Amino acid sequence: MGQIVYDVHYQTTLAFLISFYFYCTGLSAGSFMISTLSYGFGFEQFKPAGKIGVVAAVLLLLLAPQFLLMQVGWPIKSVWNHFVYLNPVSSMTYGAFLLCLYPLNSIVYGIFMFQGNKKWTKFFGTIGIPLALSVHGYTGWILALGVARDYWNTALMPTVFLFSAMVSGISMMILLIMIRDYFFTASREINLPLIRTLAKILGWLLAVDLFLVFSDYTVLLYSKLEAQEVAHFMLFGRMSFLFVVMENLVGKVIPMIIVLTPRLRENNTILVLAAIMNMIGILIMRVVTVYGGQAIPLM
Amino acid sequence: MSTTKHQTDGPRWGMVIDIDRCIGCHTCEIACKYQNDVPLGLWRTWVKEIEKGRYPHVVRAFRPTLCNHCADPVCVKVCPVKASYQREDGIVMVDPHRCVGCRYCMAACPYEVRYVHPQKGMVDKCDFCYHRIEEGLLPACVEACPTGARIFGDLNDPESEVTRLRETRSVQALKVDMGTDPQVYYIGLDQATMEIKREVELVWDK
Amino acid sequence: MKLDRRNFLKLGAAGAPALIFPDRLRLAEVQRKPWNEQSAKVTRKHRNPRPTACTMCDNHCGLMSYREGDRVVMLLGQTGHPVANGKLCARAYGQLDRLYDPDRVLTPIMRDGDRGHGKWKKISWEAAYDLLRPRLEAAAAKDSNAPLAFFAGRDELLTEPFIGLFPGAARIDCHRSAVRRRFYRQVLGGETLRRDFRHCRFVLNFAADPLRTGDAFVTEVQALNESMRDNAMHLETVAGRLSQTGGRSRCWYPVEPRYYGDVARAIANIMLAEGWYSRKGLKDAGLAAGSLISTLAACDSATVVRTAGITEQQLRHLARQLWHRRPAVVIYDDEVFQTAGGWDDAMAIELLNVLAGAHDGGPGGITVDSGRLPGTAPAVSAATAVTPEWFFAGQGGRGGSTWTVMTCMANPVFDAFAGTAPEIFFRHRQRVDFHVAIDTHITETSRYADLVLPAATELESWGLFSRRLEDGSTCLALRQPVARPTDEILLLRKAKIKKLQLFEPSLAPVAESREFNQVALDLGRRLGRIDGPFVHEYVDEYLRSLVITIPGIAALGGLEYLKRNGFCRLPAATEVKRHAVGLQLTGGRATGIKPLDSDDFVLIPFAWHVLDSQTANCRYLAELRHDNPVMIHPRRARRLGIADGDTVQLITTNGSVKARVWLTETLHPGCAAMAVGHGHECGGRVAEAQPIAEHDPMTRELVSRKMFLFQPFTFRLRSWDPCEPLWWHRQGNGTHPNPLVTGRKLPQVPGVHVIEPLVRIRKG
Repeated sequence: MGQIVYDVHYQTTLAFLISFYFYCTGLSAGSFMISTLSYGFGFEQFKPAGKIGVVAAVLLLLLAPQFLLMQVGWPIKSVWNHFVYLNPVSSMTYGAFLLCLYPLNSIVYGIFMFQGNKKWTKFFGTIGIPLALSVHGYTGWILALGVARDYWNTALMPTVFLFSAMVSGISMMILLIMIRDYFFTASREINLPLIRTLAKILGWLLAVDLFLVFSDYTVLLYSKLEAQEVAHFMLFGRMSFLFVVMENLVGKVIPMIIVLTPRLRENNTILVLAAIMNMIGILIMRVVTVYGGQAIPLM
Repeated sequence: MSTTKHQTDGPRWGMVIDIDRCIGCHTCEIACKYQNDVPLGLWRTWVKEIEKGRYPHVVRAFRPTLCNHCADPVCVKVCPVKASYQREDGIVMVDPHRCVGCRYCMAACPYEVRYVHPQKGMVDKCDFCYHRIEEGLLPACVEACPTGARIFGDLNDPESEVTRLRETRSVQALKVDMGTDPQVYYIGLDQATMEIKREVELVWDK
Repeated sequence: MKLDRRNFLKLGAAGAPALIFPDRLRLAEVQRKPWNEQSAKVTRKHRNPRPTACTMCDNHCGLMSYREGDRVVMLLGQTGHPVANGKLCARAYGQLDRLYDPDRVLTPIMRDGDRGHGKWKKISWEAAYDLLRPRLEAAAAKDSNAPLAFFAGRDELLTEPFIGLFPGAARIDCHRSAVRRRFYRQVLGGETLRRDFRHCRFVLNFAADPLRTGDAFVTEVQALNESMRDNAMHLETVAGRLSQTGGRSRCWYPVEPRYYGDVARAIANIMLAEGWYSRKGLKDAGLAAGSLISTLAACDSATVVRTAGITEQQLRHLARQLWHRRPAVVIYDDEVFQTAGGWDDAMAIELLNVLAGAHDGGPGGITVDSGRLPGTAPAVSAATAVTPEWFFAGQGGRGGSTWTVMTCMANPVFDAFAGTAPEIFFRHRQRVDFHVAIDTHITETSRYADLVLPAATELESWGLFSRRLEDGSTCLALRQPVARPTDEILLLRKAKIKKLQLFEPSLAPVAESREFNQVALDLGRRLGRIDGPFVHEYVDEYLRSLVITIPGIAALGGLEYLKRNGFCRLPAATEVKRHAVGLQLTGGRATGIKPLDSDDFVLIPFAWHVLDSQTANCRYLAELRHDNPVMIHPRRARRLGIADGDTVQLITTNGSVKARVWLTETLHPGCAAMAVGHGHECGGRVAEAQPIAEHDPMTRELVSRKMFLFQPFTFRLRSWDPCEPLWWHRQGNGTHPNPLVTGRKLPQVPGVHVIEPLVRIRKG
């Protein structure tokens, strides 16, 4: 029983821009992985997704760091200082390298793909997979190493980020392939087997993602005080609409039901709807994660 | 109690805050703002003030808060450009020439004592008024405190007042479970000042 | 050894660390600088120290100002100063903002349009004096039909001599403590009480808050704190609101403010009945135990227990503590004087001091500080001193005559608890013949003025203050201008070196402002007076002549010594004159108080320590306390259907205001508390909570283009916005409870009015 007589405010540390950055990196990593399924690992049924995947991955990855640079106080200085004064124990240092290497690798990989050079495409595709995994896993890792915030500081965070990256990437691929096939091909014929396969993968990834969220929250709810506070805040507090309804129900559960139900999956309109819902849900997930972590005052 | 990781021959500055003497006059806050030109809306040190209990058995509790100048500072670990660093004497500082304002240290600091200076675009924090210490003066907040609740000194010096208080009085530090080994010690800290928190403010609240 | 400033500082540096800086500083390689000197943080530029005295309260702590070039950049305490040993309060630090306040009035301005319409034109000082002279000449005449009404915000060196020029003048003290000070003068024969907390073993606190506000904040805080720790002193509080001091007390007895006096009488009854009283004190005060018992008979403990909600055991406990834990002191503050019976209640509370022997002259008792400079006779003023409530309740008229009004650093429209009367008085022409305001800002009062003269702030004025120290000696503190080098001003006065003006430091904010003392000298000479202080042309010349009359200073070096040193300590007078206590006790109103209705509250107007009429426009102080919600106990609020944060209406017979509710357990359920000093309509942008532009000199920094571009995404989405320097401007600056309270006459004491704030609270 008691109340505050005097206390000060605290600045929001990471803002919307960081959420957008995470979102773009996630989309990029997801689409890159779909692209490498055929060119890197030889799953031929994904071949039509290869080129569009790599183009989307490169474009999004050129966009993503711009949000990051807008967030930091000194954009140009930050690029320089990251390499000159690198701190080997800081996770962000590795991010700077990853954010340079991964787009470079993607561009080279894309060039070979468009040239039809299978050997080098496969080579750079294989290099690209761990890079794509780490470039997005690292965003989760950054949050996880923000040790002050119990919501972020969990070993699941990189994995959660990876899976959400893959689901949002696949949703985007489904949409992009449908748009390309419908609007930019002569036959206007959508590659339905590919779409349905992607949808099935999306469904199972969503299931894993939901399991990770479930597992994260059960641990939070039984963990120490601040973790419980933030879990209650996300589930029942003012964030509950965004988190429970928008992110998990609209963004994950409903799309999962749609894509895993054969009858619904057959309907292209519903499938598009599911993909859009999933993409919005993941965007909200980024915002919710960034702000939810900072919502509970520490002191 | 403290680790000996940063033990050097020189001084190791630290602070003991005797909350039994604190009256919540906020003089330290104002003195700090003038000394370091802190913008409005941001604080390097502040006094959290709560009331607890039920009528008529109510008391006020205070908690002066500042950077803990941890022996194992997490902000220094996470800084990607080594702008946050720890001096030999234990003061955790931000190098304005290196800091790029990425705010990762703010996200990692468990004490919410860092802020981005809105005009400079880089992170700023309490630096124990190092410029005053180098001239043999006390930090502004310590010098301002009318009741002497803040005691500043060399924790390496076995004769100093802070060492004596830390060793002979029952002291506690904030959030020791974070493993940062904070070097600001409190005498008579009320747990409720940590538990009663301000309301959650969301960015989209006007 | 020559005792110049540097050597003096070295001496201070040698002695002070033992007190303040017990730690060994192992910084052998760094050259230690003398104690009171320091340099800039980034540039390491030397900062020029200059001592002065703080005049934010009666304590007159030693200030050290640090100047970098032309600009005073920092105020710190003066280490080794006998008053508070270099410790300051937040207000002392905050007053620096007054000096470089961009909203200050910088030149004399004259009304150009109707009163209060805010249209002004600049005039020169000479033109302003020419305007004033005929009016003041008329006011100085005997039986003038426009006598002078002088509203004094604070006492200056020349306030009394200046008012003395005008027979038939009225002096109105515009301060919250005016009634209390009158009580001290009338009952105890002095301006200020000095309480020896350091030797006390028991302090009974009647709604005072020495740990937050007080006449001698830093000293009393230190003494109370040390005494509580080292001396096992017990502090217990009887109050309607749990103040900062109440929060540190051993026990809080919540009592509605109207019953303070009755509680005191009941305690006195017990003490008298048990024989727990100082015979000497009672005899010195001219009272007899027998007649006292019959006077106080109505307030027996049974009655008080029934009405005031305090138990018999608690009353007995307090009485026993007052006697058996001697030396004991009872303290009280303005809050006691705010109820209708306040004057009598204060008498009853003071009686407890008499009974406990606090006036007997031993350690741990009360001494009265006249505040007069040693060796000077008390100034006799022809003016009738009254409180603003009295003045405005009588509407300031003597049979329909008008007044020539001078407000000097006073803001009676805002500060006086007399409802809307002051505003009407100042606005209307038929009551005010001519109104000249001497102020630093266009305040609620000076906006109705015909002529506004720019006043200098405390840091640009001269002053000399005397203060009794605990050991009986006197500390003489000099306040001197620190804003620019004093020597340069002296040089600039000489016409021969007028070309030196080329090198005058460009201190834009200071501009043409003059301190009141200088204005008084100028006006006195223009009225043809060349006697007394008015033979001098400049304040420091007068000060020099004043200082040499004080015994003991000439040997040290006179004014020059004070200018270097800031203070001087005069030895204790061999014989301390004891003050007489003149108590007139009444039986109290134990049964005469009407119980509260279901939605009635007793309003307790209290003050935060940081905001008074002088510091309203100081940004850091206003940041600390920029809002004043009305505090209500949750139990009462539940009954009225009010939740935390609701907007409520406070209604009295006089008027109503709206305020936000803050539910708190730290309040007697019958009370509602509200801070005063908020809700300014005038007086600068911080006081009014107006946003300040980014390029404003007040923030001292420019917002770079880059930050401006990107901030919309990063900062601006939040309610507090560091980019806008005044982050609380959307929350507003609070409410002023002035419309609620109305002055009521005290029949016993002519010239004193008190407020009876019974409010009704409704939702919406």
